[in-house]
Amino acid sequence: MRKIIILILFFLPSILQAQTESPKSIIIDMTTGINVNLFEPKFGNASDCLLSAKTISPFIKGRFSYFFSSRWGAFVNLKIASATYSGKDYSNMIPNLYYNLGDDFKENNTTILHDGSIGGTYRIENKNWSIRTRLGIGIGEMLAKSPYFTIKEKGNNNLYYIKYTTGDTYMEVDELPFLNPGISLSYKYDDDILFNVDINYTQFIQKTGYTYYLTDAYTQKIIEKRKFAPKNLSGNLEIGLGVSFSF
Amino acid sequence: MKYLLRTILVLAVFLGMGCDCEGYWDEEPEYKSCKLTDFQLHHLNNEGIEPIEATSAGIKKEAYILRIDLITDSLLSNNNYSFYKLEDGIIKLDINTINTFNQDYPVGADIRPCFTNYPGTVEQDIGDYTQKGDTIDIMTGSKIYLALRTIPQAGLHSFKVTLTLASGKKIEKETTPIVLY
Repeated sequence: MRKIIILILFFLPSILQAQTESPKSIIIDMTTGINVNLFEPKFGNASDCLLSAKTISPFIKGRFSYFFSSRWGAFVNLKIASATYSGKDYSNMIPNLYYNLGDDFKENNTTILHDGSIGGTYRIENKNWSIRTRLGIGIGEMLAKSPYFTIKEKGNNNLYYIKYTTGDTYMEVDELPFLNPGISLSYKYDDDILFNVDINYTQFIQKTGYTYYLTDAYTQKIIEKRKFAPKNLSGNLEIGLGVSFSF
Repeated sequence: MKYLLRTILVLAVFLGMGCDCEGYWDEEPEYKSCKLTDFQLHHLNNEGIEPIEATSAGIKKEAYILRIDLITDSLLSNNNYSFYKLEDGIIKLDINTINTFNQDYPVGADIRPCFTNYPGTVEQDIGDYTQKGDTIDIMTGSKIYLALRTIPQAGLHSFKVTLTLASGKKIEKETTPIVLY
């Protein structure tokens, strides 16, 4: 399904076969809108504490496009989006034989994620209307959960720490490569200004790996360590409105 | 003229930042001096989510914690421990068993290795640093929580705790007998 959407987004202008007239070679887009996190990780037997819910957050971005010809060009895209660690009830992950003495999830904390991409763009213009499609590749940040628990065994003094890290170290965000198809529908307000509806899809092409540690709180010895990764890749859908300046 | 003014302004900001920050983090806090006058021993039951004072029924031997309350000549409140420092710090904390602890530890044996600082978050906690060769002097708390990590034989137990101060002075106390089952 995703492949079909990508192909449609990229080749839509060719399908429409609209007319081109007096194209500008440089376009600077400023866009703001909503970012929908489509990531629903599945971890198999791993802990539920890394699961997250779909979230919607605002973003702003700037894009510089340079057209070599009337239709084909290249672009550089920079985006800043806010993201919130989704609330999740982790009480179920503490086994019945233990008390949860304290945890650190950064739940509902908001942070800022950045991404940047470069790629090719194709445009087609018809009077005051134009459509630009893009396919980019870039590096983007993704929220990485690193929950930490102190648990105590019921009925005795045994105390343990449970820690999840992204990869092998503690990280609040992970940087991953992505593919980024998109489309802009623009209306030319005057010779230099366009108003746009902008739709982009970000498909991360690498998974975030996690490491689970169970540590004896008295001796700091690691009792259990295992690595795992989600079974699926993450992605974002962006829908925005913007203004563009063409030169 | 415009560039000169801008340069002077930038330099002033940087110099100001330097003056403000220099030595700020390295500054040694001023400690108020206090003296250790006494200590108290408490048996705690740690079967539940946090250690609580033991009842006469005894304690499960896997859940025993010995709490040593340090008493000083100054009134320490919850928020200002770190400003008090013992004039005569504690350099050694010994625990000897008064009854047979188990096969490895007969009457009178040093059982300090059987206890470990409790790593859970507990009220007014101060760690026993003497095991690492350090001195207990800065009063970040006033209660030492020692969790029993070697299982004793079931029965009646009591312990003798000896605090040795840097001056060589020793203070001894014995716990009341407690049933560990």
